[in-house]
Amino acid sequence: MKLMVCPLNGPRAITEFAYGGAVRPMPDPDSCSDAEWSDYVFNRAGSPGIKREWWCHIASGYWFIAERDTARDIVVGTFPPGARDAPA
Amino acid sequence: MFTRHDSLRPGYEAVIIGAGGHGLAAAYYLARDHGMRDVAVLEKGYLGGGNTGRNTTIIRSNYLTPEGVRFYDESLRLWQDLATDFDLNLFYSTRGHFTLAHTDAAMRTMRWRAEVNKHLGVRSEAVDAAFVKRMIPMIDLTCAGHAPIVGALFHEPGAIARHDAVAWGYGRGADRRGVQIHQQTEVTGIRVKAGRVVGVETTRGFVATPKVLCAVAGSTPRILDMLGLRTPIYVHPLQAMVSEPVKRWLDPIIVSGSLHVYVSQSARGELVMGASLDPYELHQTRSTLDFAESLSSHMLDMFPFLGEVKINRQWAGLADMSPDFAPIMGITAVEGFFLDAGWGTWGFKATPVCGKTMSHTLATGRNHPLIEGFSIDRFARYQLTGEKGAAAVGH
Amino acid sequence: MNQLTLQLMNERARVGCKGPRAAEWLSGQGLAIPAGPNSYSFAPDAYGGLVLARLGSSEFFLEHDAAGDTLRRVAAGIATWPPGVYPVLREDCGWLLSGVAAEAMLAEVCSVDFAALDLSARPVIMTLMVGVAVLIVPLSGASDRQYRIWCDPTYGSSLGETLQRVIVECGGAYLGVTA
Repeated sequence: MKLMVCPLNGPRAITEFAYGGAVRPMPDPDSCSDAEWSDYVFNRAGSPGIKREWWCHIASGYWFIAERDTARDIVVGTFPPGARDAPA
Repeated sequence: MFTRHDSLRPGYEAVIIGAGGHGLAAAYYLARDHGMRDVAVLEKGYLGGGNTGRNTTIIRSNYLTPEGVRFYDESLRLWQDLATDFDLNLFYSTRGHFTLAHTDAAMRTMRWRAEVNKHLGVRSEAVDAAFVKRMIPMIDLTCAGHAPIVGALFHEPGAIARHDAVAWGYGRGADRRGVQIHQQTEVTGIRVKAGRVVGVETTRGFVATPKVLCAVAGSTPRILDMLGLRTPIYVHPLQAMVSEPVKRWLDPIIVSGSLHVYVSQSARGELVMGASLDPYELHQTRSTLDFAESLSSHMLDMFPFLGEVKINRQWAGLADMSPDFAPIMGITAVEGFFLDAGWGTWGFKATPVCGKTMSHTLATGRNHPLIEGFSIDRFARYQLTGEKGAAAVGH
Repeated sequence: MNQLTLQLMNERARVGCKGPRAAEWLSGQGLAIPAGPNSYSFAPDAYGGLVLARLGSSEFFLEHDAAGDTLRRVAAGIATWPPGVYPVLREDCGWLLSGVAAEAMLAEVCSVDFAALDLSARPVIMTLMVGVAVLIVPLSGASDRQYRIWCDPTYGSSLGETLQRVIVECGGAYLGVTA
């Protein structure tokens, strides 16, 4: 994985991007239990596989979604943040 | 060096997943101190082929939290007579360990660490730049003008050891006491009945056992998925590299959090170097040019005379990181399933004490007092053991 | 003509704004709005031309000769907080890189292939130059391309010193402040 295609800036070296962690839906803090909240705050899906993540193109400050296969070290696809539910 | 077993027994008193330093140490102390010899160590690859053989071999106990300092200091004490225990040369070499401070803020952390350390009887001192220069005459104190060194935390007992020999020593010691080590044997499932472990599925068949210890570093989430256990562990690669051998010029171990470098010179004369974690999650041990380039440039900031020295090898391990930079150890919600994980980038130095405390925990079913601060349920209680300030480099 | 030259452009006027109605508002000021994201428009005038760069879809960076009054007028308009238009403080440091060897020099400091750029689309490039985030506007000159390079002023002296060193190593010349 040496290149990533930024939805705004096109293909760039991976060094131009910052990793922002997995896309994780936040439970409603007003109605969820303490256990659900701590699970959201701390726990992660740490096994290899295709992960949906936030990435940022540093030079333009542009945040987007990338799907990566963390077992094979390849980028499966990238999407603008508005297209979060784009097909995997 | 080890007995080859043609087949697995139908069952064992305990099964340890992972024949790295931690798993083999636990097997060794189970057999030696707790009389549990009906034990199998299952390894999907080869003995000591994971992070045990991929780290940069630094041993120190100059941590930040009392839990951490006590734990690592017990480990350091255990290291010192391991060679006699094993009758095997571990090349344990006490060098002294400098954590360089390039800013006033870093210096404050060094003083804090020094005071916590001294309070708990660990030899650490905050020292000034002149002391650093006296001990490491080749260093450029200005770091090429980018990050002048203002002082350091000096930890006299800091040491290095030959990491392969540690795995071999524990493995042979366990093997001689009747523990079975099975390489090329991958665990594919864990069988649980009524909340209790009853056995493990492997690529070589089912093995019944009431107790399982998981000591698999970067593969931890994969094993936990088999049980539906959730943890904060996330896996990033940690790369390292060595230079060609050169005449001995560097005695102490040097760490700079600001420059993202740790380095020592091995008995063979190679410079053994590491930096920070790779910046994104990955379950692969590829090497990158970015890493070699940035680590080399920071090495040259401190030691400009190394410009002509070549890099010989580069590699990576998979670091199982935790959010508070402390490990995740002990009993879990599944009875009979024990965890020794979250060792991220700092696990080698803890090998002996992990073996000691996990063998106690496995034998008695209760967490050893030294690991109480590291239990998996601390996150649900929001009681983290914040060890980040003592991470080798800023992550 | 020199193969490769670098000039400082800090004297130029720069203005920034963003917001859902920024494009519409700028257009109402009589400025040509680039159609696509990461592209620029160039309006020739007596002061050597005004560059209006569209950064992403809704942020804009404008630069012009300090002697012109267009940007003073635009800045004053933005300062009245038109609905959906927000000011962006732009005190960027700027350099003008030109000469036939410019692409070769850029290849040593950026990982974008500038030689392969199609200038007819008037692209704006946001990338890292020796680790510093920069905004680059490539303009077609008479016989070569001219690259206007902008960066946050806190990195200005560091990037400037590096570029001066690299340009000399690449056989070019640093000309100081734009004449």
